[in-house]
Amino acid sequence: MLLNTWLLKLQIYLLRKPRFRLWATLENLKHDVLTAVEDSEINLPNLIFSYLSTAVFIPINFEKIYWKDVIESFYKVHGVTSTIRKIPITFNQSESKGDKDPWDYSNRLWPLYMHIIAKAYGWSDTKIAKLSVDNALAYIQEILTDKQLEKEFVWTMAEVAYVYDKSSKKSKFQPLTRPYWMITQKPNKKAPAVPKSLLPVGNIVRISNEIKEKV
Amino acid sequence: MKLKRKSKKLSFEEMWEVYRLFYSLNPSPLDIQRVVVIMYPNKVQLFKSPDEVLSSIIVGLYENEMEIFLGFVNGIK
Repeated sequence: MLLNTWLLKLQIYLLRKPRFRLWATLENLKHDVLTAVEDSEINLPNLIFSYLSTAVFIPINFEKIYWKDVIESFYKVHGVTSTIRKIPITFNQSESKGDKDPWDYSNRLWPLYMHIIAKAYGWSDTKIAKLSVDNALAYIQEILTDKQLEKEFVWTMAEVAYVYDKSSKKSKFQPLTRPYWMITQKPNKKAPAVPKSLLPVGNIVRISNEIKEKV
Repeated sequence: MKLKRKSKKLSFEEMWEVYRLFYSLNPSPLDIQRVVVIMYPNKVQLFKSPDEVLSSIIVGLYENEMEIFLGFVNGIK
């Protein structure tokens, strides 16, 4: 038990940023862990153990390790594998989070990302596997942006992009919908509506209006 | 003689099982029994009353720092 704990702690301490392929595999496994926790699945321990085993290089018997050490290692691996560069494709939130393609399968992240880069640049899978995570993700965003802008150009020339408005008797251009990471994220600053019954009685002097008038 | 019932240091698998059994909506007597077996594998026969079982489970949860485990689970949820 002690040897396993010691081995785990040492390997976690020596952990460095993974290359792209390992990172994609770890991200897939992490996603499985998060889903298992949400659904209180019985196989969560196995999923966490396979996540940690993928991150370390010497095999460990996790079954006898104190639970706190397992969780601590999970957080550390998660920290080391997090991306450094703020790339919109990684931090902007997709609204249709839960939607899965019917052709989706487990551990699809690596084949998908590898395919995107290989198709655009013609690189081999071994070369793509060794890329740094931040660079690979930046390349993917550039490839997808290019594709989207190309689609938008074609869209401007298509008849379906111009919807006929009966009232004005004119056609109006309907732009192509952009993916979530290409849309500027506006902070939701709208103040909550206060019910009339809770508003103070009497004249309300709005300071913001007074300032505007003075200016 | 007052019995000293120190609970076992649990592994992640055991902790997850305790969480699933004890924090389910209506844990059955069998679930409770299983939790006791996990926490006190060699001392189950020493428990005499349901109150003693429950208080020992609470001690076991405290000794295994269940609040940190719950923080991990709820943090992900």
